[in-house]
Amino acid sequence: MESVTNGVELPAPYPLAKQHKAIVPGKASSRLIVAQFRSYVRELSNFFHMQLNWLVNKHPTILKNSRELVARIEGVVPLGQECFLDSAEVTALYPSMDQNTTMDAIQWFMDTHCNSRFPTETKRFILIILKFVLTETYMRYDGTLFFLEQISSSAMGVISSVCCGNSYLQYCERKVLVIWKARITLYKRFLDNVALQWKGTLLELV
Amino acid sequence: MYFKGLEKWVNFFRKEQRAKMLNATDMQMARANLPSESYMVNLFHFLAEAGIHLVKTDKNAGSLAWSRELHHEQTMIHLNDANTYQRIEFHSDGSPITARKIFEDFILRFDKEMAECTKDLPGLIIAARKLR
Repeated sequence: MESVTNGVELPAPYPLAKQHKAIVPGKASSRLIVAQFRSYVRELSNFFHMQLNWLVNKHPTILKNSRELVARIEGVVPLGQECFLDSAEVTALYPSMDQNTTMDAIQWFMDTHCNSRFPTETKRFILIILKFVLTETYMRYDGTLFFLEQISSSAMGVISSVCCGNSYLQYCERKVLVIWKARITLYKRFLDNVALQWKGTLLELV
Repeated sequence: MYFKGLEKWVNFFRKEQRAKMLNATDMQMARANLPSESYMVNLFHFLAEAGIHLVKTDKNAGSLAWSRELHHEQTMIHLNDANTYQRIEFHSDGSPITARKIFEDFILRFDKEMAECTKDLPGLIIAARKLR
């Protein structure tokens, strides 16, 4: 092993069970986690997360916990007015995140939601760091003799993926939420889980 | 208040979650065909009973309870997805792949990119050095 790795450790992937999926031989009932603590891009990922995550979390669509959702629902529903409460989930968010679109989303977020916090050079610096984090996901699984590279999306187990996932969805939602602004009285999202309060017809909602 | 019972809802949620966690632990153990009296089951039951939500069955306990074979099978199902993961055996210069060389290639590209984007900007130069 030492001759192959020569002192540099790479992350080892491992599966996490999906509770709602039965285990069928040959079918995935788990998520693959690429544990970041061994990765040489760990510090880059931590840096990116520290710079942007708290800003992304300040976005009005982000839900912090279920208690906040309860308080929001109580606060926005006018007495006697009919509306629909709905929930939704984004299917396979992390595996669906195109790396270039993720970069665009972060660029957009820094341009539009950071109040000139980042000068142009700093934005560029952060984007380069992100590019390394997204494209330098190498791993070595103990049960095999080969190395692997993740060539698409953002790896689960990398701390910056959360911030990227939230920003990615904010980027995708930005136009839809404006179009339906008059109908949406509440829109909150906990990463890939959406809580929606709809003040319109059921037909419009579905 | 528009929705009756909302104030109590959070507590209901917690009780329900705890019951689900206990149930799910048993289900996972049964699925993995592992003995139901193992240390791991007792540990997760204890944590669930104590209301400790750091160990959620749907996130951790399930796969911790899997057999080694099941771990391997599930890992390989993902790694065989050629759209996401690419096996690499050689570097671009034809030499056999090593973690050391992957790292060294990264350092070369990192230093080059950083040299270009931090030019004459002391704050960014310091940041780049610390991240290296």
